[in-house]
Amino acid sequence: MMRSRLLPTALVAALAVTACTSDGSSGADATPAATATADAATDRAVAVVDFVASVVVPYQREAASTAAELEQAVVDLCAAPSADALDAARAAWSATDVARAAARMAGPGPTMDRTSVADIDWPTDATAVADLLGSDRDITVDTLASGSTSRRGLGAIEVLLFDGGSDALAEGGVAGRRCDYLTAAAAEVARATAEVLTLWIDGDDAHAPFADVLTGRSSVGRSTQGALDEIVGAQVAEVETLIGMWLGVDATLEGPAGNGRAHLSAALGALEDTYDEMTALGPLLPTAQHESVRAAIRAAADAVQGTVGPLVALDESARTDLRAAVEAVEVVLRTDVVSALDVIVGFSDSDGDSG
Amino acid sequence: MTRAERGIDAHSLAVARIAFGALAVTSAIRTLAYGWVEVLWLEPDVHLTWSWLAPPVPPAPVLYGLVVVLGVLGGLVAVGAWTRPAAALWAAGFAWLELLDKATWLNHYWAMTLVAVLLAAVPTDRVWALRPGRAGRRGVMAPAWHLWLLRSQVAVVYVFAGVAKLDADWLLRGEPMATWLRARTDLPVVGPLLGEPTTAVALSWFGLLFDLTIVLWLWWRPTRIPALLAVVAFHTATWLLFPIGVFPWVMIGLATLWLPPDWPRRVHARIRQRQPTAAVATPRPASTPRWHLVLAAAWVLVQVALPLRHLAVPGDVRWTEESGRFAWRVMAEDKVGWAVYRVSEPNSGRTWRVPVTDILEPWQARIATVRPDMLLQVAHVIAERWSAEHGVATVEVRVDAWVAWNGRASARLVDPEVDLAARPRHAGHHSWILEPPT
Repeated sequence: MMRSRLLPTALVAALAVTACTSDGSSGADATPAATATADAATDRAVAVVDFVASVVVPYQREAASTAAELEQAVVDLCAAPSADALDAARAAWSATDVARAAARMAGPGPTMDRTSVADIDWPTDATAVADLLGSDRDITVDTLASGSTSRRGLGAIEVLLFDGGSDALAEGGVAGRRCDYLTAAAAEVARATAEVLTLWIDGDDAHAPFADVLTGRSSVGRSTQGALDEIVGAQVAEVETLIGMWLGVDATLEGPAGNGRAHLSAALGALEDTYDEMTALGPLLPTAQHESVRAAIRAAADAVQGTVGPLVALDESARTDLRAAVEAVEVVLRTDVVSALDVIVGFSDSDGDSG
Repeated sequence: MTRAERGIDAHSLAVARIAFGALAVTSAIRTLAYGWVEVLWLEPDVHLTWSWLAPPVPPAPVLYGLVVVLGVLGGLVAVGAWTRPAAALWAAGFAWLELLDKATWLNHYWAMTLVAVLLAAVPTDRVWALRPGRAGRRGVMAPAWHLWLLRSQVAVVYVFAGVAKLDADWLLRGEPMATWLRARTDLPVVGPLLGEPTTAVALSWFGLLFDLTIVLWLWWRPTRIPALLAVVAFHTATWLLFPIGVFPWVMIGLATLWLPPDWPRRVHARIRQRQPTAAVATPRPASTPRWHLVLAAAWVLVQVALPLRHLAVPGDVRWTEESGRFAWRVMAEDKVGWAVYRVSEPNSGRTWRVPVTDILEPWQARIATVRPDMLLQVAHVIAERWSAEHGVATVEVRVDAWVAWNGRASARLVDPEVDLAARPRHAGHHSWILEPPT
């Protein structure tokens, strides 16, 4: 419900002035709370702008840049097959996967738009990829874009670059169809990732730049509160994805590249940047919550670093510990951050009067 | 004739009745317009029921019909037609809705239910009523205790709302005000002021003193009008700043009960530029049966005792929430929680993770994650479902529940090692609730 904020502002100001002038007890500037909240008067709108400028856009640029490099590396591999070219393409894929993991954690809006996710990193069905590879159907950017999401995106490229038959890519001649598939899939990912960046910073014919929308500079812009709701809500959803789909009890999205640890580290890194001490949303958190949030993120990052090898190779105990560390991040997001920023994660339209 | 029985002008009671009826209509319209029938009662897969009464959720047509009927009953109360039966039915129907899911329970819903009971108990339809009740046909004078009873109900709300804030968080740390104001620092002009710690402490003290003393200022003639204006300003500000529905308007409407009982007649006459008719020319009310007064006194005693009952329960009610309902703990704290259940099959040794939002709607989870009794109920629901769906006789359900409370870093609410599936639901203290953070 939209309401004028001028009246409450005036009322609150009047109440504050009244209380300050009539009540000697108002001078509580030496209390612990006073210290804790002194740094929290940071302008929330400024914090959102800073978050977009210092976290979102750099990560989106990185994602677009690495995806373009992946596209080129695949073209180079198919043009001049060699073991080095295959290694370069695999490295480019890993870099793109890591950059996208960070971009997802850092960006709501176009980054997590259903179409973008479908084009870039929807969970892949390795069997479906193998079926398409083994068929005689055309594989082009257009056929992939209009086909099943389980056969395209970074996951499909991972299968093609890392599965049992991928070594043939280094040998030339025998990998023509795999190259067609790879080239089309990499081009589609590069296109979609570049489009996300464009939507963030330039917009398109129908949409204002989402950076302006999120920071309220567009005529259809979010309120600061709305932006914070959206940012934190997207981050909570992404952490849930890490817990449920990358560190699930019975399953992980980690594919044959075994890039899970790097993927988790990148996502947590973006979260750490979001709640940095000096920039982005970090200054909005009072000291106690800020320390709690940073400690949880750092502990999870350390837990990821403390493991060895692919996630799929972790024993149940190690995976449980790792999952617990990431769950602790969800806890601080859902409690400390939600409380400190007064955001709502998930739908809520009912009244409340109990605090 | 005692002081309680002396006659007073019944017009201020009529205004309170009209205000209540109008807000009851508004409440029904809001419920329908916001789609709350669907959201609150039809969509949830699980309803958080009261341990002492758990009526089944009726089908959609009945629910929608009930809300419409509540609106109609509110209208009848407002216009003064069959007022007392309408108020009684409204109270019963509204209570029914409140009983369906305790996550929907709000202080102001409880306040409206109690006021409806009082409107059913005492005649407020002597004047300005389409169809005056039997008492109305005897004239415009009402016994003073009718007014006192309604005033006492309002006074209980204010005073205990103040008492609930008498703690170090509120008085010294300025919490949860600081948390709430910090989220509004982007307001123009005063935004930076709202982020100042002294503002939070000052406003906390103002709010506390307002709640504790406003009844006195309303009661004392020299301060009555400024106090009424303060009531209007205060509740308007809370309405604008917080999502507390019609509560501010309920309190503003009921605050007029402290004005001279003939104020509506005087205002009405002034608007019509006439001399007000003399209320004393009308018959005085009949004497009150003694048992009416005894019942009224008992009502007030119960209203005073209910908010204090948590003193008989171990633990800090602010943290445990035990016996914290029906106690006017209005906007007394800020809590945000999250809970993940662990379901274990002792036979297989396997454990599954069940986030609370897998069971509850987000709006229910927001309430339940900070209330141990609700967490316990959800554990029981999970255990029953798991047993039924997986054909397992015994499952253990534990919960990892965290709460950020009044600006503190989040802390565990309940012992994560305790199998809640084996713990009974009851209204007393639950020993598995952990100590609150300092």
